Amino acid sequence: MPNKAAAVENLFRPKMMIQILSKKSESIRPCWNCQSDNVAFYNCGSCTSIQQFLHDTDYFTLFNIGYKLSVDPDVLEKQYYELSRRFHPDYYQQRSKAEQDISLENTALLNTAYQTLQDPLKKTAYLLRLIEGDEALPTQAPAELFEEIFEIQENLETLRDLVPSDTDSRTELAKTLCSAAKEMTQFQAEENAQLKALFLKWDALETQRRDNGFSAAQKELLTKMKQILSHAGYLERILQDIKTALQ
Amino acid sequence: MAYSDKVIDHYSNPRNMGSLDKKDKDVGTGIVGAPECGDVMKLQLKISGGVIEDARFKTFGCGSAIASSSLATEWVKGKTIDEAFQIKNTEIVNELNLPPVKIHCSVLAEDAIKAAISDYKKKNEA
Repeated sequence: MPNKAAAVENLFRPKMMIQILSKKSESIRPCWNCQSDNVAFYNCGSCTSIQQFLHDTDYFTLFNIGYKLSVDPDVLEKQYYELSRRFHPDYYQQRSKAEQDISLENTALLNTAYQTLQDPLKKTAYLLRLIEGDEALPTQAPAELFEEIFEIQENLETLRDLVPSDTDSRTELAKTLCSAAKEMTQFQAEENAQLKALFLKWDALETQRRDNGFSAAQKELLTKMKQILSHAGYLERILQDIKTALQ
Repeated sequence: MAYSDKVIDHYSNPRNMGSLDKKDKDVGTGIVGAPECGDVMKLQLKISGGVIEDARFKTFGCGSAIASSSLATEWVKGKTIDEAFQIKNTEIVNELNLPPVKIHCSVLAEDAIKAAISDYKKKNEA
């Protein structure tokens, strides 16, 4: 009765998507233990064995939040606990080795998924990869930012090379670096705020989406998100470097 | 995996570290970065009659990124623009024995050479 299994599977998957994944969707499997088609939410309806996640289960689907980016952290947390309870290795101690292994694997995936979905930047990068493939992430260097980063890095180098007795230069440089850090922190905050605004716009369009393709408006939002992502790594790194140098 | 001897050599004795005058018409500047790790690399070429006379780099990043750019400056010197443009990151990987996780450092160096040449061409178009 594969149709029944498919129906159960669809309860777990948001209705609108699947095809947006670049990967091929794995077919519905019967229970690995008793071969029954009656697989309900990752436990077999017949023998109750735990079922492994399908290989193409993405994090959004796993948390059943659609491809939405501004999901309430409380909702996410609640869902995380809910899923943890289903798969937690503690509950499978009395079960077979095979079930214990699946429970461990599912839990590991669940944890990674939660960490990704909690972090705005990681979540954005993940969605981009999902939709556009591994090549989606930006490699283009933001020229304006680089000028500033080089200047800061050169100041950091000078600071490292100073003789310890030269306290005047040290104070002067530290001051320059502090104000640079402030500026970068502000830039980072602005970008984070922008990203949040993009999330809201994305979710509004995602709610309206009826077919499998993304609209031009959504693609435009993805491009803007990419741009923010292209800065994020450098900002984080330079702020970390300044912090380490001034400690 | 430990760094190879060649990486360590370039890292501890970087060749051609420094800057050239960015405003000089004969100087092409390529600035590239790796968004995942935040490494940044600046590579400058002084070009005369289609031949690269001098090269300088400044890299703020890991040992492999520094070694890749140091090696790149060594290689491009004396080459024509076209020859330099042909340098592939895989050649850098082979020369420095870079492990798979550090391949992106060699890509960075290749991109930097190309960016510097493009910058030079753009400057001299007009």
